[in-house]
Amino acid sequence: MAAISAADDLTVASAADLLASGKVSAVELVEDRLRVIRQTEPAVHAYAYVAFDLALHAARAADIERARGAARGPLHGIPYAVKDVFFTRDMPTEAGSRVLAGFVPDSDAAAVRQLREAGAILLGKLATHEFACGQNDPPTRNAWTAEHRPGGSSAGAGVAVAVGSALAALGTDAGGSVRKPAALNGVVGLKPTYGRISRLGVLPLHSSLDTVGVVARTAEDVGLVLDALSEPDPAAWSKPSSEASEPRRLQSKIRLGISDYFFGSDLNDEIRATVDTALREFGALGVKLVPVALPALRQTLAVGFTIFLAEAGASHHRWLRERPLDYDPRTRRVLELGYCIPAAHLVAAYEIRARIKAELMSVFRSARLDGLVSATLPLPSADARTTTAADLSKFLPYVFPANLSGQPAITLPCGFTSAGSPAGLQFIGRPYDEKTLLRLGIDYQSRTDWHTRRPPLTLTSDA
Amino acid sequence: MTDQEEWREDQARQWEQDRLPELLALSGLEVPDEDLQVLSESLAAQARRAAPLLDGLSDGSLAWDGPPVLDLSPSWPSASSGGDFSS
Repeated sequence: MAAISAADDLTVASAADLLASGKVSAVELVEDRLRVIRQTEPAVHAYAYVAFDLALHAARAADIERARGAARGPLHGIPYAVKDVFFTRDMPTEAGSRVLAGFVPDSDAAAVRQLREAGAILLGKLATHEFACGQNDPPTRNAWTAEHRPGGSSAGAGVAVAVGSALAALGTDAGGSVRKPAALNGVVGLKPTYGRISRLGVLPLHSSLDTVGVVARTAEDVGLVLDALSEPDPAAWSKPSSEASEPRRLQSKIRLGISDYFFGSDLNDEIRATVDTALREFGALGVKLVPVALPALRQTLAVGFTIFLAEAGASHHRWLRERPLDYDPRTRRVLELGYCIPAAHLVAAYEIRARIKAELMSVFRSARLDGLVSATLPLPSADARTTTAADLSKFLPYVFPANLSGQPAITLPCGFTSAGSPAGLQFIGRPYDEKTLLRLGIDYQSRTDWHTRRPPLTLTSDA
Repeated sequence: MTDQEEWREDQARQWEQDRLPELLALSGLEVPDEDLQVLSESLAAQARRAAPLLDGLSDGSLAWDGPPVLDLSPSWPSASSGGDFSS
């Protein structure tokens, strides 16, 4: 195990190199991550279910395949985990709810199947707010400050990657639910273009917002996972072309828009300072920053909440009728609320959403933008002892626009507040142009070391 | 409070007293009594949040004069050309 003695520095890319060179076997790598899980779970509670035996069995099979010269690619033998809203044929899918207690689906979600086909090893299922609604309090703790909220609803994904109990994770993002926990735990989170990754076998909540996303320690790692998830969503109205997988321009030609919407009085001063520093870094890379006006974004929260609530209520109508008392009351009430949204409000929200999308398209075109740049969240992590779910709406204004427009967006760790909370930098890109976002991230992370910082956990002795 | 605001407050109260239980009964949902008060307050707050959207559409300030918005999917029409907006 000497080759992975610096386990906390492992990434998907570095682990893939170790596996390919034969310095480490998949069994050793998975055993090592299971050790990290045993050490960290008592403190962070990132997992809802750990598949100890299944993971080792899959690792042995991966090693046998590799020995035969049949390695499947860079993810062959890489341990990862998924939010517990993805169907898994061999372990429970409960979405943090009594409604689904003990439920084991007949088949894998398409994304899980694709990662299995790529040779990745599924370690287990990650904790989430009940049905990804963001209302109850899962046991997951922030990796950096145990008393603080970890972000949601893909809380387990952000925390597991931050503490190294998974090298990568899949989550879902309908209102920033991948980017929030990634930013609040100091890791990278990508919400791809709506429809870019198949949602087959993912418990639905918001039909026009839900997007499968990827969390990892580096932008390079996110790219490796994204490459294996090539099967688009059947609901997507259009599909990415092969040329869309290449970055559009050289770094020195990149143009990033800056809108007042993302730099208003709601932006915490210390977060603003970290973003300003990052923007200077990009300026040194030759990236051009372009001021742009996006007045329609002022309607983001009113539009987003209306759609979010109504679609969630519609998704849960049957279970709400049949098993209302199996929901956490906080989740149930928000779903009931969604069922009561007046149709006129929803129509208005959809119409103004079209305006928001049209405005973004127009600005990207006229200013020849490759992306927008902002803080991922206006605030650092919130103290769970003094905040409620109602306070969490303050974390939505910067992440929600990309869900409404369907554009890809990425968060990168870009610093810390004086209290030690991670800050995130967000890029919102052109549709199906994830590679430009990843290129920006890879270049930024080659010049900074924020992604190498590790949470100061007090670990439990190895079990 | 303006007449307009007063009317909105009346509407919110009406939801609480009459329309919310009626709507829930029609939905087939058996909502626990403990939820009704929270639900009516949340619904009133959401109605206040959404009101500017309706006002904006009515007075034209938020109206959208592009193609019909039947395509509610946020996937972008030119995605097949690799993120190019030209089509």
